[in-house]
Amino acid sequence: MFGRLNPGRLPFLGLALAPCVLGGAEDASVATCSRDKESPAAAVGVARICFPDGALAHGVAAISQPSGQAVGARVLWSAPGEPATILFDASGNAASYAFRGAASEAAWEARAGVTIEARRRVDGPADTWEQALALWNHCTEVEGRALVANVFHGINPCGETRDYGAEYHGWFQVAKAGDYRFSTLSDDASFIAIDGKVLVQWGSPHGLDGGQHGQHGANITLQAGPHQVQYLYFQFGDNPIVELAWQPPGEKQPSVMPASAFIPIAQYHVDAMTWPGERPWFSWEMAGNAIAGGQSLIEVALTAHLPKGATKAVWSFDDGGTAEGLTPHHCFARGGTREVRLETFAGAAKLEPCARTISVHPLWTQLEEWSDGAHNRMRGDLGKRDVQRMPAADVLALVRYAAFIGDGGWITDIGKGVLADAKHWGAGGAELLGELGFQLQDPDVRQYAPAADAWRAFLSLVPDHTPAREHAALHCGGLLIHCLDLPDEALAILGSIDPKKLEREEPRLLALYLGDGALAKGNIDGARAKYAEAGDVVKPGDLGYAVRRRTRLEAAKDYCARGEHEQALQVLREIEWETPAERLGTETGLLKVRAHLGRKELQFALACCKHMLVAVGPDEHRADVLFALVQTELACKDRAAAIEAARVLVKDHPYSEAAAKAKDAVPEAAHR
Amino acid sequence: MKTSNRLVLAVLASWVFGTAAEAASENDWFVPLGPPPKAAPRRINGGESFPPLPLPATPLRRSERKKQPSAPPLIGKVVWGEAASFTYDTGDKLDISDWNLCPGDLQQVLEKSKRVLGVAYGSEQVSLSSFHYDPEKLPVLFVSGVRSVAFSDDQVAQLRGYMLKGGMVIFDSVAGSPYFTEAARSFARRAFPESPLRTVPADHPLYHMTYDIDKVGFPKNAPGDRPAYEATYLGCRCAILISPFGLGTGWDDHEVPLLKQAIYYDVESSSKLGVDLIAYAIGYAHVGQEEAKPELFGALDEKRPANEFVFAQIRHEGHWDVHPGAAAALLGRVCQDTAVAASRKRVAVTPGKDDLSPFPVLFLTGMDDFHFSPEAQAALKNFLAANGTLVIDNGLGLATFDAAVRRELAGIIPGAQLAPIPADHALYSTALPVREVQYTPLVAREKPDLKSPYLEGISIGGDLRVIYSPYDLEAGWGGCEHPMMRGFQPSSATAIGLDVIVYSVTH
Repeated sequence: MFGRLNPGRLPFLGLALAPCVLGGAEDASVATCSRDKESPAAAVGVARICFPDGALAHGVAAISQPSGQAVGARVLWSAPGEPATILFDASGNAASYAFRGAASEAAWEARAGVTIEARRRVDGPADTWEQALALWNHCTEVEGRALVANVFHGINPCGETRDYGAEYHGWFQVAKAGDYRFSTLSDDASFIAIDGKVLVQWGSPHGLDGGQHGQHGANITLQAGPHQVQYLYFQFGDNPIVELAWQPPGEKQPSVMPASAFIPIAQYHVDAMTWPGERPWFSWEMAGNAIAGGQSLIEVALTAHLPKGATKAVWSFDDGGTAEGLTPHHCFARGGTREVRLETFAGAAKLEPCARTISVHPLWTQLEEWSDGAHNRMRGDLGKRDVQRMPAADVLALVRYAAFIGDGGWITDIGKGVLADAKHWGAGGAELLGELGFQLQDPDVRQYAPAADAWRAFLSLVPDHTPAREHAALHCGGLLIHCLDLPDEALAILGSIDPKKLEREEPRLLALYLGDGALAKGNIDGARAKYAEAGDVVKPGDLGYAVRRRTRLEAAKDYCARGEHEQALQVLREIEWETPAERLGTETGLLKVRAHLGRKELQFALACCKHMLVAVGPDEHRADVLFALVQTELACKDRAAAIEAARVLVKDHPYSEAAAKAKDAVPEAAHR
Repeated sequence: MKTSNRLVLAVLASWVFGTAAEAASENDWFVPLGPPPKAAPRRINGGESFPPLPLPATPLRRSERKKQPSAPPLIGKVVWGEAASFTYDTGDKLDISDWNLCPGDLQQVLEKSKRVLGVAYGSEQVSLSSFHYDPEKLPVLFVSGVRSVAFSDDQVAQLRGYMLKGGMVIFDSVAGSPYFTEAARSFARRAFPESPLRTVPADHPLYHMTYDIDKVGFPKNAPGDRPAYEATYLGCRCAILISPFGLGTGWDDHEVPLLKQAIYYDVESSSKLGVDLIAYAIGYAHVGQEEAKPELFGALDEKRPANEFVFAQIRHEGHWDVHPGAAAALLGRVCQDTAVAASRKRVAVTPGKDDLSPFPVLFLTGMDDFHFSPEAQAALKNFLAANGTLVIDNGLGLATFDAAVRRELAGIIPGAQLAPIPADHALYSTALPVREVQYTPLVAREKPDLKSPYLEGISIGGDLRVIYSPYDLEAGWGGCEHPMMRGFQPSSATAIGLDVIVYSVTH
């Protein structure tokens, strides 16, 4: 029986409380709800209520009005910071119903509609019904419960759409007795039970093949009257499909069991909230989101409910944002529990405020995780914020979001804001500064000096010889050598690193950067020694390496020719990583210059040229290196430097092809 | 499997040209090369007679902003010939085309190469009528078939230009059809009448790039157990490569059941040959482009300063011009780094025909067998007797040329034998002191203890008159890497080259 499945569920308890109970707790809020005009009357009602005094930890009490008769009710879902969803006995079709928290709930079952309970899936098999049942009972993290129209989902309506389990529970009315066929189409495991009898099992992870025509189904004879369907489902990974189909007597083919097949539930809304002290309160709901790269910008719709006499509502949020008005929308840079404060005024007099912790999360039922409209709206709002007033975690989330969508301008603006007073952030801002260090030097952003500032600020905040500090110092040193031509500062930073605190391949990278730093200072022997210290990762005598190296170099050339500069750099870095002595040569270096120029990483290209000039011999492509320098200086719009480089080239290598090209590019080079 | 071989030629298109005259025997080869298509599985579930259930909406996600780039194209498969419909005994029909009898060949061999080389490359169809003929955009063309492939004069000229710029054209006689092979040879003769087709020797890099392929297998009609390529050399690389036995079916992991007479490599052999071939095409693409750079040749009767050194290179019946441009690179260094006044133009001379007396040094190179005529032998004998120096370089360090050199020298200087030139010989300190040198990885593996320069020579009257490098010196002069070559690394090659030139001129 599915009835054994509910360790994470609030018990389906009813209650039959005397009217006096509602008035028993002086500080408890009481919500009065009436049926939506467009919702027909039904035996069961549902109301979503933001109780200002928090969650319904133990249960709910409901009473019909004006009769004052207690009616059955149960909390379908209640969690800190979230609106409560309450099912209740609306068979009396009263004018309104009052709700408040209660110490317990009595037995009452909502025999209508379809509810879902979603849980985060843990590892375990679900090949058979017994295994699925055991797995469900092991999944103790309940993500939520909700009322849904039917069992037909390509998303998880209560949480993230991956690696979850769901139990659907529905009541439907059979008008005509006969043989009914129920089938499931799912990705992955699914099981159907009717009136407690397990009818269909399609276990284990699988795709849709073999089920799209209702093949995974079985017949059952049903008498007229209400019946219960339970559908247990597990998703292994992503891209869920959850589908309950049926084929009533006389139908020629199965079809999705429609919402109309289930016993209806009437929708109720809050008319009034009685809260001792005439304080304001507010309700909220998730209004939308833009998700990119795992980062969510979330829009929350708020509604202020003012006490009598109040005329003005002013909002403040824990991310430094503010708003005015009765129904503002506010964008959060990330989800989680957030603090919202509502202040109301009666004329100039400030009334008692209402502060709540609300749970902010993506709108799970929003199919379009990212849309230009939602993004632009929230980007516009968040882009105006003063990042210095935002929590570091929010700014960090914005940086990552902007990085994923490639909004270099936004990263630049955020960087300016953050670095305007880097000390403001304190140790809690270290992660933000480290992320900014990476993102500001991204090829799409190219804010190298601010990136170095971010790294420096990070290093000043983090204690010495911690892995995070050493990791950042390593990358800061690399940036200073390969981009900003500051080898002295770089070598000082790199020299301060304790290699034992570095992880995985980082000690090797440190040796390479120390070699690069030496090279940048003109110390070829020092560079060679460091590269030798790092050593080759190629096994001695690996004859095939020469061929693999050559094919990758050719691939890098092809990538450059096609404008795939990032891929080219990736290949070249791999080669230089495997055989560090390549860093002293020109074959990878010249291609790197080409790729950096293609990516408009001009300072990287310039540094690369200068390092090559230190190492290259008089014959080995020095002319080509000089010409690369000419091209780079021209790209940097430093014509004087380009002319100087070209003159050296023409003088030292007068008969080279590079000299001829340089004279074409910089005619002044031909004359001194 | 018994088949009726009912072939209906349906000329859908003739992209390149019309086919050659259709001898009946040639058309016998024009059949599907793979196994017959499998019958589609019957659908037996009665439930499938109605439409599938609808699916719920799924989340629309923002795609990753950085897409992986597609693999760069390496090979273009040339569209040629006709299309036809083939009917099996079962009644099943299959459309086939001359150019694409093995549709999965390139995709599969590139996939196999990716697993070995770690780099992904792609292929594309090429119609010669709209091809750009730019090897930097597409370095290799691949022609596959069983019937006679023919090219117009214009196409031959265009393809010649493509190969001279560094491109490579591979012909795969995919079922070992003699008609296709002969047509490919005909193309090679028309494209490069000055450079005959040669058998690729067993120690050529083509057979050793990633796998050492000494023996191969054939599922049927085995012509032996050795791989067989024919090539037209341009510089040191194969510009035209002909495989008279089928490669593509093995690349695509299948045999040729419908042709009893087919000759093709088994899957393992063809796959290894294919990976080596891909590695060669990639690895030598830059060599082709480097060697394609224009070089000025001097004329024999050109007036020069009396003291100017002229790089005179012997033209012989073999492939005599192995590394175009390499001499010019070395001569630049001679001018820059030594006191020797040198012309930057090479001069090609034919012993026995041209006057050798103006040249104190003659340079000889090659990659395969060659013979000097009696007249040439006599001319060279006189040249050496007149205190000339013969410098010989073994292009890519191949065994065939090595044997030919020793044989021909025995004819020129009877009784004399090449002997190692000791490391302390004055030769190695004439221009630059050379004590320790770097060899290419292949030599380093075969001779791990060899660190000093290794040259051989013959002294006449106490003077070193013949200098022979069994490891390729010239390849390194241009600074260009030649994978799987037996030779010197560029810096060592240049240093030794300078020493050899200065020593030869000053002694």
